[in-house]
Amino acid sequence: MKVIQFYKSETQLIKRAAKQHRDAQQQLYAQYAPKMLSVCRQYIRDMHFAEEVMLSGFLKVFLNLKNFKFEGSFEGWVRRIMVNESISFLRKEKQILFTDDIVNHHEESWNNINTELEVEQIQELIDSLPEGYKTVFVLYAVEGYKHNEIAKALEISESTSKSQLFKARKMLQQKLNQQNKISNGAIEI
Amino acid sequence: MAPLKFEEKMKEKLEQRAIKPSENSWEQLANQLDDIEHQKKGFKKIWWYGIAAIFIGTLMMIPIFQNNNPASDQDNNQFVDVNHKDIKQNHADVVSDKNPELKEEITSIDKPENKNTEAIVLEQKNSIPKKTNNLVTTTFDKENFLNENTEISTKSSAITIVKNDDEANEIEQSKETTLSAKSEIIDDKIANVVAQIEDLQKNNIEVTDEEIDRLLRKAQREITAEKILKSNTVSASALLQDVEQELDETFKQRVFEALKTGFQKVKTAVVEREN
Repeated sequence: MKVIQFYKSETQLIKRAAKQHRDAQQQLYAQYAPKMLSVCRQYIRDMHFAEEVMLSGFLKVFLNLKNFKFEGSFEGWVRRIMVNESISFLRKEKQILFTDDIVNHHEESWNNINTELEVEQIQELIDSLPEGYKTVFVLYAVEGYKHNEIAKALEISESTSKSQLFKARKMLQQKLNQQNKISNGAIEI
Repeated sequence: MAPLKFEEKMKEKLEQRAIKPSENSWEQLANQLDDIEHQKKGFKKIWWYGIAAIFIGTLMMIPIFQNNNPASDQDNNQFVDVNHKDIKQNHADVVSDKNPELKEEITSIDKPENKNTEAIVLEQKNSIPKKTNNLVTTTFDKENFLNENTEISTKSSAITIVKNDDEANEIEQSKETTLSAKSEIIDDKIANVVAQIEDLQKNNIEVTDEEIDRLLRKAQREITAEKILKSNTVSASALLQDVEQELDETFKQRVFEALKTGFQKVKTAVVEREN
C-alpha cells in the first residue's frame, strides 16, 4: 500500500482526517492498521473476523475523530476503540464464557519455563485459553487494564476478573511446562 | 521466573507485532465511509427541504389566517360603517380624510348650530317672563339662526365645489336635507312654545319659570326624537333621552297594569261568585 506523505505533523493529519479528507484518512489507516489488526487478533482467533472488527473500529475512529481532544496519544485512543470493538464482537457472538470451574493443577515453578518464545507461539498459547480467561488475561497483561476497568468493560465483578486472571495464568504455566518438557525430551532424545 | 516477567516479555512482543491487512481493506473502509457520508448529506438535504417547506407553508398560511380572522373583518366593517355614518351624520370627517384644511372650517360651521339653539333657549328663558315684547328677539334670533344655516349650506356647497366629485355631492345633498329638516323641526317647536306661552299669558296673565322650563324641555325632547326618526342615525345622548322617556312610560304602564290586574280580579270574582 503506497501512501504519499502529504502532511508534516500527525496533528495536522488527524485534523484533516476529522474533516473527512480521504487522503488523510488513508494515511492514518496505513500507519495504524497493522498494529490494530494485531490488537484485534489477540482477542479474535479468526483472522477474517479480526480484520472485520478492525475495519469497523477504524470506521468509528474516523467518524468520531472530531471528538479526539489531543490530550493523550492518538495510538492509545485508537487502540482503546479496537479493544472495545473486539469485546463487543465477542459478546455479540457469545464467545465469552466466564467459567468458575476449578482447574486442577500442580504447583509448578515459573523458573524452569523457557520464556524465549516467538510471537506466533505466544499467540498460540493465548488462543489455547478459554475465551473468558483469554480476554481477561490479554486486557490485564498486555493492555494494562486494572481489574475494575476489566469488570466494567466485560460487565463482570472484580472478583470474577481476578479469578479469571489467576486461572489463565495457571493454565498458561501448565502449557509452558508441557512445552518445556516436550522440548527438553526432544533434546534428551 | 515470575509470571510478571514472563508477561512483560509477552507484552513487548505482542505490541511490536504488526499484521498486514488484506489488499482491499482500505477500499472497503472507504466505501463504508462514502455510504455514511451520502446518507448524512441525504439527511441534511431532507432537513433543508423540510425547513424550506415549513417556511413557505407559513408564508402562505399568514395571509389566509389574516383573511379568516374575524377581528380583521370587524375592523373592515367598522371602517365602512364609520364612512357611512360620516356621510349621513357629519360630513366634516369625510371631507377631512381628503382635505385636512377643510376640517377646521367645517367643524366651525357645525358648532354654531348648537350654539344658536342654546342661545335661542337661553334668550327665551330670560326674555319671556319679563315682557312679551321680548318674543320678538327670540324670533329675531331664530331668523339669525336660519340665516346662519343658509350660510352653512353655502359654505358647505363651496367645499363641495372645491372637491368636485360625486362623493362630495352626495355629502352636500345629505347635509342640506338634514339641515333643512332640523331647521323645520326647530321652527315648528319654537312656534309651538311661543304660542303656548302666549296662550298662558293670555289666560293666566303671569307665566312662571317652571312652566317655561317644562315647555322648553318638552320641545327639546320632541326635537331630538324627531331628529332620530328623520335622520336615521343614532347618537348616544338621543338614545339616553329616549330611554329616560321609556322609563317614565314604564312607570305609567306599571300603574296601568296594576289597575288592569285589579280590575280582572274583581271581574272574575264577580263572575265566579256564588249567588
